[in-house]
Amino acid sequence: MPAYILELIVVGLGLILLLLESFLPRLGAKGLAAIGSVGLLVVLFLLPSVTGAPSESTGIIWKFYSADSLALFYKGLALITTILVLMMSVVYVPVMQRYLGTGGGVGEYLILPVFTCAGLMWMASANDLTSIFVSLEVVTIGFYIMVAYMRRNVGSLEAGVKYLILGAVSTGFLVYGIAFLFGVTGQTNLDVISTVLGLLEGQDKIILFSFALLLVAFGFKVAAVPFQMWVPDVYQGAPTPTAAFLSVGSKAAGFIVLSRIVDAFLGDHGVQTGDGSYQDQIQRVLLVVAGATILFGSLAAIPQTNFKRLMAYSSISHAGFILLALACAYPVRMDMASGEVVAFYLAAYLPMTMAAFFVLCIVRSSRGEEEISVLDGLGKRSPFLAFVLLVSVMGLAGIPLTVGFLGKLYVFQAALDQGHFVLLAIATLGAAAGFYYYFKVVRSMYWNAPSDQDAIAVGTGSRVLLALLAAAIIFLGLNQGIILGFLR
Amino acid sequence: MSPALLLLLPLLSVVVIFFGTKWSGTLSALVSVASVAGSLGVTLALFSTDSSMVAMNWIALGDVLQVDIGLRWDRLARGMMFVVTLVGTLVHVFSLAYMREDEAKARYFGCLSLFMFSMTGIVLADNLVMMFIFWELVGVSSYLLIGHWFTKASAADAAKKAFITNRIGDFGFLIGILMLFGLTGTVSFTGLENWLAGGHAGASAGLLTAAALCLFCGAVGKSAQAPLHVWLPDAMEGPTPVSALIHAATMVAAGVFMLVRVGFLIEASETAGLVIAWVGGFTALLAALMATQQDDIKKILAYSTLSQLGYMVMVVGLGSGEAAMFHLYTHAFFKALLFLGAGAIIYACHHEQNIWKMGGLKTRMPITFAAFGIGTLALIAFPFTSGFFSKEAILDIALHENKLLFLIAAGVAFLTAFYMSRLLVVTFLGAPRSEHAGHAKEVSVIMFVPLLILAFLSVVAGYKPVAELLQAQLPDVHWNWFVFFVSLATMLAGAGLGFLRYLDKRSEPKVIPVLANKFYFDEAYGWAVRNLQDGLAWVVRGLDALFIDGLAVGGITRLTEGVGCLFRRVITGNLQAYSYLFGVGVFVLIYFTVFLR
Amino acid sequence: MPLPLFILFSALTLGFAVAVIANRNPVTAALCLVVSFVGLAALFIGLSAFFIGIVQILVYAGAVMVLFLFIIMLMDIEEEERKHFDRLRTAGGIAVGIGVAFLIGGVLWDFDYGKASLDDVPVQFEAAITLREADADSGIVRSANATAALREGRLKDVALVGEKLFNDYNLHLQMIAVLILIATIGVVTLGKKDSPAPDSGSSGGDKASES
Repeated sequence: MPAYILELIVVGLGLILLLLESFLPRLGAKGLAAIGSVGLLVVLFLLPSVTGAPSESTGIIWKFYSADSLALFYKGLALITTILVLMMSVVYVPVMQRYLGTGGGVGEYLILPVFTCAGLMWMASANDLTSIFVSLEVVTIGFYIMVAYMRRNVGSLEAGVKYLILGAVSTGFLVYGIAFLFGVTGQTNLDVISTVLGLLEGQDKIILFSFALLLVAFGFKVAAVPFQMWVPDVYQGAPTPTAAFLSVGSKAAGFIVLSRIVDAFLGDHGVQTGDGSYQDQIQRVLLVVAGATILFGSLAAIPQTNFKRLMAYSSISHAGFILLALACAYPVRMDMASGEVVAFYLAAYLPMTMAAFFVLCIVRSSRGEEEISVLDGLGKRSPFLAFVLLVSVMGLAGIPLTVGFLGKLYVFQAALDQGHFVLLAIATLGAAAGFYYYFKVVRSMYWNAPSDQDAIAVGTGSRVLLALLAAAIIFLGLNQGIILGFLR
Repeated sequence: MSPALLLLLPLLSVVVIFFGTKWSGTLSALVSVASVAGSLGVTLALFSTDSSMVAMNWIALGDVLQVDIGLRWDRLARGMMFVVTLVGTLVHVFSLAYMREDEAKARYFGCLSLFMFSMTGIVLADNLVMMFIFWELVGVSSYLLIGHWFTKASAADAAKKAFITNRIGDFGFLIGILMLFGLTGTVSFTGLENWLAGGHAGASAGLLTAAALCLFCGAVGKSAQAPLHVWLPDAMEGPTPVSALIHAATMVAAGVFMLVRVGFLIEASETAGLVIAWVGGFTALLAALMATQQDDIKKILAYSTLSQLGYMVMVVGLGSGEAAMFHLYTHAFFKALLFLGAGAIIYACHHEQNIWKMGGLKTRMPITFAAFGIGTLALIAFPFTSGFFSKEAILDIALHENKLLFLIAAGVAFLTAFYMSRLLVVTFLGAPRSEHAGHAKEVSVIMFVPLLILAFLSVVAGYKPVAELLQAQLPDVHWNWFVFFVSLATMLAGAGLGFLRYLDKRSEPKVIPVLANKFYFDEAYGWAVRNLQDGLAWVVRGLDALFIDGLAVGGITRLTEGVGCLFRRVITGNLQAYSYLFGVGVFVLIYFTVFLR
Repeated sequence: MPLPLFILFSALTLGFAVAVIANRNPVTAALCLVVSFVGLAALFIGLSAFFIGIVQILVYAGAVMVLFLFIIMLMDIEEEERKHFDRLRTAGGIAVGIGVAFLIGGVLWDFDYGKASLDDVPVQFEAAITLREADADSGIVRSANATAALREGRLKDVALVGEKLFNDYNLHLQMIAVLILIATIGVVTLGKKDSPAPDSGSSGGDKASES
């Protein structure tokens, strides 16, 4: 079965859900989410059995769509993320209904992720500037709506407008960059562009210019400095499941595309040689952006008191680490390409972030606030939630025996291999700051006195899912082979 | 069946207790007991096998670093595992009765299982990193168990003290691991052994010594050797079964076990061995002296443990890991016996721990007295008890390796006999000195059965066939009449002096302040912490306020706020400010990418 | 395209684009946008992209703008209030704009125009693929002179676009279908009218219809 069938199934699933939502309204949010998740799970199980391009390139589709192992890996991430987001949305429904007014339903909120998931999966496979652009827009439009979904909540609307305007600006730069790249190479397929770029001479400036424009667009998507300013506001304003989706799904898709683009620009010019070629310059730019992103994210996270803003800054800092891995291109001694390090980091980032947002969703739906102080005494009130959140922030901070540690370890090792010592120092600083600001969450849960004693009700489904996520954080942290196995 | 089961059983118990049966203390207790009994069963079933396996590749970075979660199941591990699971099982059973009325029974048994898991991990680890991780887990579970009654300030403080003191040693341990990794590029025991056998290329003797001593730091912390011994007596604030399990038989023995595991490193460096031997000897003497003037029954046993651990460490330093492990093995039984016996006494006397408020318990608790008596005999190395054989071996090795240490060891043997007879006389003989002691009754079956099993083992465990059967390490020593007589003489002299001096006394005849106050170690540390550490902290805080808060964090915050203020004045509405910043970002990025090369 | 015409239409496009932002009356702004679109269409036609040029006028200047005007009139959007323009703020905005323009200028100054013109652009995708097989020495495989073909009418650009769109770029077409579906869902959900019973303590609900 060719890989592109998967997206067709996902889109079909979305259509079915739309119809069910209108004609079987008693299905309710739970029913929709259940059907959606089961459908996506089926697609997830189909994932290993799909085939990539046939050896004799017959269908024109394979010129825009690749199904290499990396693409399949990111498709898997997108599917898992979407399933978790659907589950989270079910928990979040009571909160949302407060802000929907009398005319709004939550049905669409559970269907949009499915369509967005199709977009994410297309992005994972996009290896042509045109398909990159179109799939990116599918994803972005979906997010605009999901961010602004709580339409009677000023915060959500404001976040939606901010994301819409800035996103449109960044899309403009993307098109501009694509146009320049096409103008220089006459090609849209990234593989071919890579070849053509190798043949060009004396065009460094315009190549770098088009790269810079593309970096602006994808920097915005993955929240890299200096295009990160939207992140805290949008995370804070958006419904929590959307923030989680943005933080994992959108970021992962942005990174797969960015890493394909960087690969195309660098060609086989892996190791920084310092010969002043444009490839060197690209690596340098990525390093500087990575360093700035880590520093900004880590330091600005320290004074935060709102949990979602904290997660936003932390997500910026993680983006910095991933960019650092990307800039290292081909670590020599590690037996892992930078694309794999990036994929590993993102796979590690998924369960940790999802678990944290999931717990936040549950807390929010019972308490109606999202300050860190809401978590006060959670260790006493709901030990299970507190434990899951503890595991998740431990992972995010990169404590050994969690999968977050391995992700950071690979990034550090890659940077070490390439001799980027300044960046290593910055990354260390960022990781250290991480311990501090994640510890605030732990302190609030276990040291501060609870403001009220009631335990927070957690449904069985959520409980199982959270337990699975926590187990995944630890188990994947003990056995790196699992993620790597899927990668190769 | 695989040794991995030994790790999984207690882990399963922890998970089940903390996430499932937490609401029911009894159910949790049963789960925990079942898991540890299962572990004992698995250990016995695997006695005849020998294997090493890699369960998972934890970290594999090309040829840079390879860390596995691997298990090593050799004779050393088997012997240690038997001690751990057997004493563990008995202590679990004993706890069923001892902790019956405790409110937080589920937490207690959960933590016990966590401890069993961590301890098993240390025993089975096949590399230093994995050992270190479980090492820390042992520290955590010990912290939780010492602080079980955390509402009592002294218990909470003791837990903290134990954890922090251990951390100091662990810091050295970690440095040692990193040094060895830097030297060899591997952290697995097999890899290190091969490297040493291959002529340890690229490492000077000095570096090797330093690495070995850094590892030893870890043992100093965990096995409570001087000068980090201060936490162990305080740790007696925990429930008594915990003291028996953790602070007598297993956790404190982990340091010795680790030293024996890396014995090949210590052998490779003479200096390191010498330092280790002297630290051990010094601790043995110091602790024995302190034990002679304590009034708390558990503290006496704690100092006695310190002193016996000193023996083991000393003999490891002198190059005989077997003798150390042999003593560890016999000591585990009789010291667990003594602690559980003490627990029974404390339980019977309504949580009275001062020996001067006991007395006359011989007639009221005959079974406990018999068991405690056997434990005492084994500890003071009465001929043909288990402790006798292992102490003989230690003295013999000390005599051959280092005459001065032999003298110290003999002195310690004398002191041991003295303070133990003091304990026995004051507690069990004479007339009751308090109401509680007067009303003490023999403890229930579930409590004295473990005592009897341990008493039996304390007697027979030293004989060669038994030791062979139980997979203990046997030192290669021969009968030496000189050592026998020295040992016998010191024992008789010490015990005799103890009996004469304390029989029918109502209170301590002569208080020696320096010993009663434990050589003022705690006071000295308190002073050092107050003055040196707080001074350092003051300086660091100043730097922190100036640089971190002031420039890095505060600077960035102020910068963002400042820029924000500026924009708020200049541009109304955040969105416009953001778009403007976006534009500036585009300008900077393009300029940097294209023009700044 | 003759240079004077190019300059004329470029100026038209840019000038009226600025006028769109500068005008406070929404109807005037929308009409300025129409003119700007027409200029853009002329530029397309000048580049021999006749079809795109016509579409630009038909769809954008025609349909889209009429829709805009309808919305403006239906919603009765008033003239924007005169805002206080801070000098610093204006200067800052202009400075960044000029800065970026200078950067683009700097890049284009060095650009070697001769090497990449429309003639060099491979019209057929296959040409791009064969490039991979052709090794570096043989150079880039060029297609026939596209501009000439277009001029002579041999290459019908409507047919070409249609063929491209529905054959080669079929995948993209499907994706855009999903995109439009998502957008429709979004408009419907966010723009839904509240039932008569008002929800207490809410604000800004009506703003939703704008996005």
